[in-house]
Amino acid sequence: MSNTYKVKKIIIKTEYKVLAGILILLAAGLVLLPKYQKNVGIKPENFLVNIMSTERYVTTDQVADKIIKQDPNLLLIDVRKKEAFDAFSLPNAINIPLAKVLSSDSESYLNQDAFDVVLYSNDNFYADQAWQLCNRMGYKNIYVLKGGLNEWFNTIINPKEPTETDSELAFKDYNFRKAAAMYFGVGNKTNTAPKVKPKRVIKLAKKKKKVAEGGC
Amino acid sequence: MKELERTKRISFSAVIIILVVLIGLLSFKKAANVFKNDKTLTLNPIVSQDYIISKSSIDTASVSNMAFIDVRSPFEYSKGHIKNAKNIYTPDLLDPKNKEYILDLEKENKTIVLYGAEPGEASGAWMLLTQLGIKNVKLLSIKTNYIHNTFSISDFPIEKAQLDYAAYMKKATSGKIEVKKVTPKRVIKLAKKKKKVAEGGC
Repeated sequence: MSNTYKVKKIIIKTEYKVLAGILILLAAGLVLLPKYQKNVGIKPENFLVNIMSTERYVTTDQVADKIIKQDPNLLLIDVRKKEAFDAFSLPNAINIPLAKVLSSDSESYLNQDAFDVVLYSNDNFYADQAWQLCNRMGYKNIYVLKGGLNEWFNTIINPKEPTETDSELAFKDYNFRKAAAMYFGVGNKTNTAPKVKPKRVIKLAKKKKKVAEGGC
Repeated sequence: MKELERTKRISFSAVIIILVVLIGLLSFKKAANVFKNDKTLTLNPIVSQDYIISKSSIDTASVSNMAFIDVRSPFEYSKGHIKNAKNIYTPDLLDPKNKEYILDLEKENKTIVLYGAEPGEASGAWMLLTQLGIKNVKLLSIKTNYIHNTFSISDFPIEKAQLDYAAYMKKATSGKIEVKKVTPKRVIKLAKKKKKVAEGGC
């Protein structure tokens, strides 16, 4: 064996030690890294954009029209307290009080894509908050009834008569609202809208794609 | 010499591993704003409703520890605002400068009081800050008025039912409320006079 070979071997051995040392240090460093805070739901920046948008609002006319036409995609959710819901609510609505919006029982109603969910309360403050909680969790197809039940009574149940100088559209709206009020039972002794509980939405767990699932 | 070749390969791969880890660490960017996985954070105040404060509940003792934030647009703010309120328009809440200001207030143990033209306008801002984990954020249930060039605020009850729905419906369905039918105005369309070709002239 030549001398140069011996020297080379020594150099490589020390290189080895240094590299191994660095690797051990890195491994130790990775263990000591602070716990990573993972973001849950959508990003705060996107949430801010969503809360500024008014796309979530639907009008009382739109909702009344959908109820009358018995739109199968409509799911009304009352976010008021149970006592208020029991006293009066819209036909076929279900009750999820604001405090229970994030509970696992309500998730099957809110986190789905089969229905257009319309949230409502007396005003639209609580419904907005429920919407915000859902939006942050990334739930889709959720809307808010603009003005809530107060607006419902002011427009649909007890609409204001248009004056003569109002546009033709105002008269059209008024007549629709009057007819809708009759549908919802105003001035009508027998024909009250039926109250039927909607079917429960059952969310199917998505099947995970397995790696190498056969095929040719 | 074979042994040397092998060791070269091993040291080469070790250097690559170290480089990859280092690049990963250096290029890692921590998200500035994070929604934490803590449902109770927002649900507790919502259930107890203690984050809503009314105008009448503010007295001189409590006001000294409050920092008002006006979430209306700068234009509305310039017309008038609560004394000592800082204007942070809702879309600008996550600007680093504004966020720092809010975090400083939290450090000083101040109560952050948000208000908008109506409580609903500030509810989104409240939800955002609370879900980011900022404590002591409250919402002022007021309505801002601007009459005769003077700015004033008045109490605005949240979610107040304008009437007793159940009682009203009971009365309405009993047939005691008359249903009036209104026919819309009749629009008379004027037929346009057609221009006749060669209608005289000299």
